[in-house]
Amino acid sequence: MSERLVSARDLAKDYQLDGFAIHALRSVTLEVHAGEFISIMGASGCGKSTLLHILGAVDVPSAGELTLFGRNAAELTDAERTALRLHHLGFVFQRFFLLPMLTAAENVMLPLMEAGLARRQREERVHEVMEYVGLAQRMRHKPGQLSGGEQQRVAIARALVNRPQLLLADEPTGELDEATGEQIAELLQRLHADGTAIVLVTHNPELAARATRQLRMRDGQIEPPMEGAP
Amino acid sequence: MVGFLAIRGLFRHPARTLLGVLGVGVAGALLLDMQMLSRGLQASLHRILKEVGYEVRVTPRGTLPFDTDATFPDGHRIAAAITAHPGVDHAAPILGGSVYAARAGREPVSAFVYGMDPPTQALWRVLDGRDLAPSDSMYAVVSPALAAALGLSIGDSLHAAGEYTSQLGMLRSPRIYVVTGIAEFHFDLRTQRSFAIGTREAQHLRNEVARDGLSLIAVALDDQTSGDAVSAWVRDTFPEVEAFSVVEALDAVQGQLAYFNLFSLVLGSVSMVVCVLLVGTMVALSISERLGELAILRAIGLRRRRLVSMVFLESLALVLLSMPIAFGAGHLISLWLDAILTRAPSIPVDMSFFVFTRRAALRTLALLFLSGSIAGLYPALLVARLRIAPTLHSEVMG
Ligand SMILES: Nc1ncnc2c1ncn2[C@@H]1O[C@H](COP(=O)(O)OP(=O)(O)OP(=O)(O)O)[C@@H](O)[C@H]1O
Ligand SMILES: [Mg+2]
Repeated sequence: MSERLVSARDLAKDYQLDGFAIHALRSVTLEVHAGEFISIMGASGCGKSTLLHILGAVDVPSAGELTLFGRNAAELTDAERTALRLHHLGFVFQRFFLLPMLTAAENVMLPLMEAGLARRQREERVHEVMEYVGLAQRMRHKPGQLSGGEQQRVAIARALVNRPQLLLADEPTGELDEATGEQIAELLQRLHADGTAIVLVTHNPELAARATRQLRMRDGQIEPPMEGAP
Repeated sequence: MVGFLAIRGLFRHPARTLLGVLGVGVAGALLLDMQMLSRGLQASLHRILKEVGYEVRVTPRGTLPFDTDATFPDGHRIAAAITAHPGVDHAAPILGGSVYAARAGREPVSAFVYGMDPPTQALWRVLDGRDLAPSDSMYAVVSPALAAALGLSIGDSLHAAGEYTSQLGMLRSPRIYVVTGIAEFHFDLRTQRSFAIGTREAQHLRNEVARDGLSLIAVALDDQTSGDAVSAWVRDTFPEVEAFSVVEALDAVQGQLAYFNLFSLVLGSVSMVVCVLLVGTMVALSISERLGELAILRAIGLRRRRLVSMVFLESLALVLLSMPIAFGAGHLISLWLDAILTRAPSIPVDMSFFVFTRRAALRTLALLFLSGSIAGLYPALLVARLRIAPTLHSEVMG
């Protein structure tokens, strides 16, 4: 059995909106192991992003137990959660939100600067990861000079540069056309093959099918596996 | 890293940043001007007194230099006694007062006479012609205003007297001087009709010969720093007079200038508030446009403290960028305002209202940075309170 990165039991998340309680998550139990590739599909509003935020330590559950990288999430301070995100987790979103006035390389370098790496090391790492996403030639370009797919690859490089054990991707191909989405899908698969665990939220069944474990969510819960599934 | 992000953040909308910097620069210029005004008259007086070069001024009891026509008796005796005091280089007896002046056979005008024996740099500066020489008892230098009023040129005769019989339209027993030069008088009002002659001659005009009356003794010292000690000695030794070192004279006029301090305080505060509002609005606006980005930066592990200091630095950088404009424009505006104010008829020619001093510059710097810091508070608070997940939910998911 490989290392357990994340373990969640009976997670619930409620939002109060104008006095009404919204149950974004009702009872989610999930484990993510090192090297796994999990995809999550489900109707809009069923709680996929909410789950990803909680697994990624940017949000806290209203109820349930959560262990992140061996630590009880309920006991983590804000600073500790920030450090966890910096060193163990990577995030990719539907919108890339690169800083437009920084070059691709500078965008990717930000997490390394935060981690306090020396300049030489930073440059090596950035080069390495930009090469990995196939953009070594575009390092000096600003996001505005890159296509949507290239920007998303820069965003992925930014998520990978601190060598996270787990990459959380929320509809990373949502704003891209099919061919460009395919490039991203291949990149994720390669990443998985190289050993990084991935949790991918997507509306695209073909993309979801590439995962080693496919989950469906409905109404704040993970549906049990369908009859006859392997 | 924070500085790098802040600077790049500012240049994201170059036109907007430029406009903001201009705005802050102009408000900063006004702030500088108000700092220059708050002590400007004092500084300018200080400069004139220094330039004139006498460290101690002796006046009639209860008056400031040339405050009134008042005189004190025994002037030359007191001046001689002061000159004999150790540490005193020389003491110049001076008499000033109102008289009448005319050209031969013409209607007289009122004028102000300065009686001072050479060297005379304490009271006037020759613009044209030559100054009085030690033997020139019957010569005079005149102010441009008097020369214009009487149509006098160098070489003309000036008739002057202490009294004037209006029935006859004539000066009573006038004394006659040859004009040797045109001079600007340091303490004159702009339109003042003045002329200068030797001290004894002035005493004749003012009928002060018997009393040996003087309005002022200007005392030059060997050691410029001993002004306070010598002025104290003069006060103790001659109870009929007042004595001021340069510092004491400035303190004495301070009260009369409180009006300007208040004025500059009010306008200075207003321009500071404008700075704070401008910078605060610009940075807050730019932050609210970048909430999604900032949430992502937090999500990928940047510390809250980092982003807060980045925002703070953006505010300070705006202020910093506006400094050249503040100081450049402030300087130009102050020259302009000064020209307007000193054109007023009741202002001595050599005075300035706006004087650039180290104090004014440092205070402006400090106040501008204070404005930047205050302005940064609200945007910094926005960033400090940014909640990642809800921001991602509303901004990033599209
Ligand atoms: N910060 C929030 N405040 C209030 N309600 C929220 C917040 N975040 C999410 N919700 C609500 O929680 C529910 C689940 O939202 P979530 O974003 O997790 O859905 P999703 O499955 O990711 O949907 P989509 O596929 O459209 O992205 C929705 O009803 C949403 O409106
Ligand atoms: Mg979502």
